[in-house]
Amino acid sequence: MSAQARFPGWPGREALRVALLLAAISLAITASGLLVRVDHLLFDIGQRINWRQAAADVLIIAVDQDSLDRLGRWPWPRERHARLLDIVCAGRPAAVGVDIAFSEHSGDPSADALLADAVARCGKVVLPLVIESTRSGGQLLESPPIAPLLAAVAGIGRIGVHLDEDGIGRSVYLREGLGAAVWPLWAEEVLRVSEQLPPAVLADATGSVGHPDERYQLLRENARRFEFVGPPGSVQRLSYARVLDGLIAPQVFAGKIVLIGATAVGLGDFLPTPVSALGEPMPGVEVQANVLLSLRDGRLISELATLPTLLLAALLACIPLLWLPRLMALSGLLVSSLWVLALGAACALLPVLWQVWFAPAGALFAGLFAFPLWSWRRLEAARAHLDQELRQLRALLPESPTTAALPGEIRRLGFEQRIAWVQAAQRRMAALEAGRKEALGFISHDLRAPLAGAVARLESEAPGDPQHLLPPLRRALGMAQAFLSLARAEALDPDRLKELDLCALLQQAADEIFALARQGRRRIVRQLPEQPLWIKGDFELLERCAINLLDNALRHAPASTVISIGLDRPRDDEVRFWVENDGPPLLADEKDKLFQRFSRGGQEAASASGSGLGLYFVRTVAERHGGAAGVDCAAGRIRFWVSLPGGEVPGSGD
Amino acid sequence: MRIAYLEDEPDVAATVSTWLREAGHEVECFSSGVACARAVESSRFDVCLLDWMVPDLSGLEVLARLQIKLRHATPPVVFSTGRDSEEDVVGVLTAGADDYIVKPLSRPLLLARLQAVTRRQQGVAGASLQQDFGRLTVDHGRRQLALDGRLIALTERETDLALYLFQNVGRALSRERLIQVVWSLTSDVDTRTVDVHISNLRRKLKLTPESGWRLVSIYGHGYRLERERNSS
Repeated sequence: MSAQARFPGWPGREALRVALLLAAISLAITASGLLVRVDHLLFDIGQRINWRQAAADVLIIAVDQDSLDRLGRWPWPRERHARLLDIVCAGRPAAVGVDIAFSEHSGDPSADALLADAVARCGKVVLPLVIESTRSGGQLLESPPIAPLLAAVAGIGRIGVHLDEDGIGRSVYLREGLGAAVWPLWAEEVLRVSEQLPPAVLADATGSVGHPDERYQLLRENARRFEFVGPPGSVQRLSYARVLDGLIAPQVFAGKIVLIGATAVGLGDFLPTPVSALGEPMPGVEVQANVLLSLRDGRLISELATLPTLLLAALLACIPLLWLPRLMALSGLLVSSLWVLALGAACALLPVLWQVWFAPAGALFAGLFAFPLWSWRRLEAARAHLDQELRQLRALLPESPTTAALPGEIRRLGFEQRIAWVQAAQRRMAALEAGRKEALGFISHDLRAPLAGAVARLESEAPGDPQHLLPPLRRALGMAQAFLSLARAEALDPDRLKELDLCALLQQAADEIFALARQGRRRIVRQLPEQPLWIKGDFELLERCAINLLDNALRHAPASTVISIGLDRPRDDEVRFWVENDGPPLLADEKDKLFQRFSRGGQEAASASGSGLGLYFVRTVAERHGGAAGVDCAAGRIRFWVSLPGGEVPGSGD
Repeated sequence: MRIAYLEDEPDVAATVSTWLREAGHEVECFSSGVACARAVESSRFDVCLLDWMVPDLSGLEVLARLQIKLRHATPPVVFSTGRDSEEDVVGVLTAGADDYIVKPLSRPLLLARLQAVTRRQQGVAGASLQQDFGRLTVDHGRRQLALDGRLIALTERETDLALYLFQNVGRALSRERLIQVVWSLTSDVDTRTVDVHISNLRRKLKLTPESGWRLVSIYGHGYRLERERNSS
């Protein structure tokens, strides 16, 4: 069975599941706005790396600290503003935007009139409108400039900037107003007056009118993020006092957009912006200058609508699954990390390059989760595969006495334990493979030799005595049987042993070998107890064991000697049967070699009789029964023994 | 004796048929289990010699079919099989075969086994009241056994068991059968009891190859008392 067949749909179906999970995570985060600060962070990073040359035709006349020091504290008399306007307008600027609210009459009506005259004379002055909450009750109120000024201005616009959750100003509403979203931006009005307003930008700014009941409701439309040309101070500034003192040539203002506003820290007109470093907020007038530049240069940034944002977030969340199923763990991790970085960078650059903003926090978060999630599923699959392999191996491999049995509940095993099991099974497989090779060697050499001999004899000899063929053929048959028995012994299941009478078994083995013994004129003496002795065992294999020992003794004992077979109980829980014959003592390493596979005693190797499996078979059977086999030499006798656990002597006969 | 012989290997079938014919038996050879079963059902045979593995119907299936169709009229069945593991042999005997021979077949063993299983049918041993096996004589009438002319002291049950074994020389007898026959009146007999008695008989009657006997334990299944073929 292939892995595909065993795990239908892997990894396709699994990838789909993980993709859905990632999409859900991404959607949840995007929709809930949980990580909106991450979005802001990315946006701000994009803004910070996007310094541009500030346009030379926009300049600020700043009410700076120097001016305050020289002209006295704020508020200044309005005739001073009137004087400044006269100076500036003498230079024929494209437009003059004044970011100073004149929504209340000053104590001096003549000063108000002077200012109104100056505004009217200039003809290109735009004044601000502030939408603010009244002191009591928090009701919103539109505060336009006082009536004389209102009559004189070229335009009026809002100077409000929308502050995000983190208190940083990034966006403006193109239209806003109480009851009806009709007020344009101050920056827009300045542009309009200077005739630099691009028509396309405001094509969709309709200025809808609200329900009559919502007269005091603030209506806002067409939110747009704006760009910053640089950190505070990027827009060219001229000191109010210096202009007033006539230190600046009027030609400087020719054809330019001149904005007048406060930049002195003490006046409090400051906003935190994406580009303002900590502790260095941007003066309101410079923020307005940035709005104006964005508006004029077509660099206002639209936010992607909700539905496309959600769709895109879900889609981007699934992207890592394009490569995760194909890559290994390390490359998967690297590519996924790169993906998150690249996605973040792309989203930060998107407003800079194409003036579109997509909030990527959900997709990024899902991207971060993609690798662990996928690795988890992959680990699960690996575990399932391992379990399956273990089960199969357990079914496939014969129980080995050296490895403990697999527990029934594979689930409870730890990962390392499972791996250990598989390794054990692999070792067992390797052992089996080695056994197979040995067997092949045995068949191809030992078993083939006598058969080849018989065939050769048949081919070469003229019709002779077929009896000549019998010995090699018998030998081949004997070997095949020995080999079969060995295979059976190796596959013996210790749990399926039956009760048997060891005495009867040994009697029978002696019976079996009797004829052969008589041929060699050797006598078999039985030193067996009269009563049965019950043990748990495999009758056939144990009988073959005893026969092998007797056969071995017959082949090695000198003619006309006695071979003994006996049984004793060295301990209560151990039975030992043995076969003894005369013979020279064996060397220690000879003893070890005797019980190995395909080994033969020196003498035997020369005669090439016997399969070389006999004693190995004896040892195998003994070990499969939980016992042991060995050989002792003493006083000119060689004793091969097999010890088995258990042994029960019956009480009385009848 | 009329023998139904099921064997699908032509060489083996030819050789064995020749052996049997030379021994004076009438042999009908089948290479198909179905044909063999049909023939045995329709005409009388004294014994069936069945090969385990034949293409269409295995020997075991033939045996099962005969037992259903003929019941007690089933002739004795001997299996010849290349499968000599304990499981297989006990399986065959438990299924109701009378005996088995492991391949490659040997001529004298085959003839002896066939003789042994048919003897029951003809009741030869039962009819003879006195059996003389050289050193050992068995007197069924007096229920006495003597070795070298001397009576051997046996318990009641041992005598029963011995007489039954000598009636069935050469035939496989299951422990259950021995219990039925020898201990029929005693309830709750352990199979170990059988083993103990067998062990006693082997010792007291000297049923060893040296005396020309073999008392063979057939795995966990039962026993067979047979003459040592190679004894003088």
